[in-house]
Amino acid sequence: MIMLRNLWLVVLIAFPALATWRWREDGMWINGEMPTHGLAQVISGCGLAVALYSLVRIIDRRRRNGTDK
Amino acid sequence: MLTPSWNIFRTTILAVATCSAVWGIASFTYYWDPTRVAIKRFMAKDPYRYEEHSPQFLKFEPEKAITIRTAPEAKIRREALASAIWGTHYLPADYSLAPMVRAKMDGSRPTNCRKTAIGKRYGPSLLCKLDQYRGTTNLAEIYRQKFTIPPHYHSYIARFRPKVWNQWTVIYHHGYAGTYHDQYRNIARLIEHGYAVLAFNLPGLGRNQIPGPGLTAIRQIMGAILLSLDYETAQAKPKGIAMIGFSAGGWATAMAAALDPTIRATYTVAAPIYPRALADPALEPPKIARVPELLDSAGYLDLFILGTSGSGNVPRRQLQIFNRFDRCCWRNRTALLYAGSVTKAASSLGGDFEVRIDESHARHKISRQAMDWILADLERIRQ
Repeated sequence: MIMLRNLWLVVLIAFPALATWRWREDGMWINGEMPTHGLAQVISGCGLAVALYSLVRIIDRRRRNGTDK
Repeated sequence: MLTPSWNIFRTTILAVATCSAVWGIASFTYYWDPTRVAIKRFMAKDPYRYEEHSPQFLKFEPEKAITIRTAPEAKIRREALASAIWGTHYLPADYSLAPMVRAKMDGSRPTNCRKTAIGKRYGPSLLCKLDQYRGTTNLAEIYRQKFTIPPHYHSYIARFRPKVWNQWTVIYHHGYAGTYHDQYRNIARLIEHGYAVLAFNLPGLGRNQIPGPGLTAIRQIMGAILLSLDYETAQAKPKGIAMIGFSAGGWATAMAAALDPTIRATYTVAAPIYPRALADPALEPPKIARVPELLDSAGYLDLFILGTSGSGNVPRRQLQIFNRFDRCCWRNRTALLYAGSVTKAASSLGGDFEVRIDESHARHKISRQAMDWILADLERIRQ
C-alpha cells in the first residue's frame, strides 16, 4: 500500500525529469518538438502536484503521531 | 484523529494536486509533436482541413495551368517576369551592396537589443543575436552587408562563412513574423555540413526598412537576393548555389529560382505558393504572393517550371515541402494535386521537381525531418 502511494510521487517526479532530459539531450527543444512554455507547464503542473501531495502526507503523519493537534 | 474540517481541506488539496498532475501530463501530450498531431487531427473542424481534398480543388486541372513547354518559352517568360518587376530584364543599376562588415563575436552589442517594442514587433538585428551562433561547429566568420535601393530603402544580409567550405552556398530566406535567427539551429546545421550561408529577412523585419506597397516590396526582396547572388558568384565563386525558404520566404525562394537560373536547388517549406484555385479561401495569403502583374507573367505552376529550367546542361531541382498538419496555413496534401503534372513538365525541360508532405508535427516550422530531407538532398546533388 505504501509502495503504491509512493509510486504516484515517483511518477510525478520522474515524468517531468525524463521530459526535461529528452527535451535537452534528444533534440525536442533544439528541433522545436516541444516549446519552452510547454515544458514549463509540464514541470509546474507535476511540481505543484508533488508539493501538494507531500504537504498532505506530512500533515497526515504529524496528526497521526500527535505532534500537530 | 481526523476532524471533518481537516477532511474537507485535505480532499480539496488532493483534488487541486490531482488537477495539477493532470495539467502537467496533459501539457506534455498537447505540446509534444507526435501527440499534438493526433490531437489536431481529432479536433479538426472538417475533413478537408487535413484529411481529404476539397471537391472544389479536385476540379483544378494543373495540365492546363502549365503554359511553359519549351526552353525558348521558359526564357521568354523569365524575361517577362523580370520586366513585370523592374521594367527591364536586368536589375536596376542603382541597386547596391555595401562592403561586407565582419560581425565581431567578442565586440560590443548594441544597447537597444533588449526587448524594446521595435525589437518585439520587427525582430532583432544580427548584432543582437550573435551569441546564438557562438559555438557553431565549423563557423569561421559572420559578415553583415547592407543592401540599398535609392533613395531610402535598405536591408541587411548576413553571410556565414564556414572554416571548411564544401564549395556550396545556401541562401536562407525567412518569412513573416520572425527573423532568420529563429532558425539559427538549422543555419548551424548547414554550416556544420560545410555550407556557406547567406541569410535574409523580409523587409520590415530584423532592422530591414518597412516595405513599400505591392511591386515595390517585391523589388526590395528580389533585388537583395539577386544582387547578393551576383556578389557571391563573383567573390566566392561557389560550385553550386541552393536556396531554402520558409513560409513567405518560400515564396521568395520560388520567385528567385524562377528569375535566376544560377540557383541549382531550391527548397520551399510551408510556402504560400498554392495556385489560387487550390488556396483555402479562408486563408489570406501574403500580399506579395498575390500581385496581379506577376501572376499574369507566370502563374505559380509556370513559376515552378522556371525554377527548374534555364541552366543548360546543369539540372536544376525544386523540392517543395508542406506541413500536412500546419497550424497556420498551406496545410493538407493539396500540393500533390499539381505535383505530378509539374514534375512531368519540368522533366521535359531537363529539370527535377518534387513535393513532399511532412507529417511529423502540427506547427508552422521547418521540422527536423524537413531539414534532414533538405540536407540529404543537397548532399546527393553535390556529389
